Amino acid sequence: MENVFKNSFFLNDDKESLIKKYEENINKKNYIINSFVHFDKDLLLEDKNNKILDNKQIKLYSKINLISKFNDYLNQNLNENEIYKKNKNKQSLQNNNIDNESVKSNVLKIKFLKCFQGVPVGIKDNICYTKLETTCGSSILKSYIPSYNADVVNLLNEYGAIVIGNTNMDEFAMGSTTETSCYGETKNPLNYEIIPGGSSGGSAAAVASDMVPIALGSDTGGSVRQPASLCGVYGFKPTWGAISRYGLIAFASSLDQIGIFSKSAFDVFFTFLLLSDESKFDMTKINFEERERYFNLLNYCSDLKEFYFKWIETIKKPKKIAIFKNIEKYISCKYTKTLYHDFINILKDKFKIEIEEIEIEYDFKDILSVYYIIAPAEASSNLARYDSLRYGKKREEGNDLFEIISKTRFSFFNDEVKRRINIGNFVLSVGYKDKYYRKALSLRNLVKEKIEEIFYSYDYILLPSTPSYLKKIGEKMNPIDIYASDIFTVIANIVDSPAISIPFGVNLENNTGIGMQFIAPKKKDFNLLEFVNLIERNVF
Amino acid sequence: MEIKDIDFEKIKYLSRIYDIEKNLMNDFINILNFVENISKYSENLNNNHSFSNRDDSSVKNEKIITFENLREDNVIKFEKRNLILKNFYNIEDDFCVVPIVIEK
Repeated sequence: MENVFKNSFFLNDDKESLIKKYEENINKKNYIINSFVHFDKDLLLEDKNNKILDNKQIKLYSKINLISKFNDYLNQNLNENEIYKKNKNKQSLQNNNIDNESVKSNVLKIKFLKCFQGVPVGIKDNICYTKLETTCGSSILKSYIPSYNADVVNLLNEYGAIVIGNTNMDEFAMGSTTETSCYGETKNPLNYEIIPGGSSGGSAAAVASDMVPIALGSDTGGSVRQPASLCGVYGFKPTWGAISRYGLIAFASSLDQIGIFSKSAFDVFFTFLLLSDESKFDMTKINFEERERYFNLLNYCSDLKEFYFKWIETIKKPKKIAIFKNIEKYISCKYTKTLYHDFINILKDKFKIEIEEIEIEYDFKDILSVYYIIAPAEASSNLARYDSLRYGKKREEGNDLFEIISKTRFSFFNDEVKRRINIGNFVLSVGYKDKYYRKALSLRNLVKEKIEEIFYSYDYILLPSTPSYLKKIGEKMNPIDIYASDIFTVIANIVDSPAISIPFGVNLENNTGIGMQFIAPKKKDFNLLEFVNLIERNVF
Repeated sequence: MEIKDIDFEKIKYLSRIYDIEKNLMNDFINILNFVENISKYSENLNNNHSFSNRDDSSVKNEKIITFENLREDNVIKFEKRNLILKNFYNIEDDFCVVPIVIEK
């Protein structure tokens, strides 16, 4: 129980010392680990000449000044009503026609608003923020500053969270290692020789090394859960459409979803409660009725700790969880195998949950193939816009427009991006579309149907998050072997379900983290997060 | 899988990428070989579930889930929905998902 309060930022009483620790870690460790690639310049200390430093110099010499920004919030010393009024005024400026429903829902959020004041948050380099360069870790987008904020950034700003900077990622979120970024690789805080996983490795490493309590990433085939597992933190991918994707630079639109990293299950839940707010700009956004219930409970309680105790008492544990037969043939790490069985035993013995083995007629490798056809196909289309005319760098060479565009793309995309664009265009081309793309779509539908069928009888599916620790930094590896690290994570993206990686032990050979993953039925995000909080409270 | 030079020319054009290096060509072939399985695998699946091939015998493929096995929230859901899910048919893909019948 003590660990729950120690790891959670929201439930911790001494937030000021936590902020000091984050500030110290950013200034000491970021240069080594390379988690953050851009910082909000308002947070930087100026140099002796009173000149703001550029990004390269920031990395080497400058310091982040988090504590004074946090104290600004504390010194405001506003009560809930004042914060609400301030927030309401801001909203009325944006929208003159506030209807009764939104007034009612805003009244419910008064206490909620106060909880987020001054919370430092890191966002992945593919989430648009007008104060930061947003480059997707790619040379082709260097110096691109978005003209609008992503919905998630607006929400964080509106509620008083401090978005401190952009975190490193694989170029255009294509990769599982965070080595393919134009800013260089990010190191795993648990072992500097090992990759942190990817593509949201920067966010996972920032949370694992205590630079921020919460970071956002994006998950297209496991890009949140896989690095979360390797860095030993929680990584949550919500249902497709549960968090607005407006302002998330697209990789594969039918699979992309913004996800949350934290060291605490409660912080993941609480951040999701904020980010699952309605969106005016994302038509695929789904809404959750449960949110109102949580706001009601929060308003009834005097503080967050009281909320936590009242809330945790109401959580019901699931009855039946499914595990897949013959899954061990895919797990190459002996520690993962052992921990997987230990975790099953805990669920059986401690929680008295029925665990049943089920069979699925589709090979996991084929499900992975479905992903590696659909994702590149969508990526080839989404990345067609980087033509050197609208965004980023230009290469002024070539006899005609076509040559200029193709030379720019050839020079500024890295090998992994080129691989996927080539595959994507090939599987969509005449003569091959029926053989690959349409069949992948059909199989995706059948897998969806199969998983839905499983969820008629079971509450969740349990899987390890990754089959092994993957690789050392700089080690050469066949792309297919790297793709195989997503074998247990792509399934949740393919069926649009929410999934979470829970840190559960370490690989004793190299000290990297090992995570266990729950997949839940669509739109059961809050149930899943409640159950994970129950596990955190009773197991860790 | 064999890829001809003309195919690489086509890919270069479609991808708007000036050149494909030798190592990327090899990776390309390896990746296609890796995903090749699915094209055969899903061919069988498509034949089994194709709407146009659907006759009386294929009705036997319907998956039956007994009411007792349903999760608690699904019981309520299906009581409201007359216990039957409708078939899904996509004309463009000539593709039909096997209907699931809930028996009480």
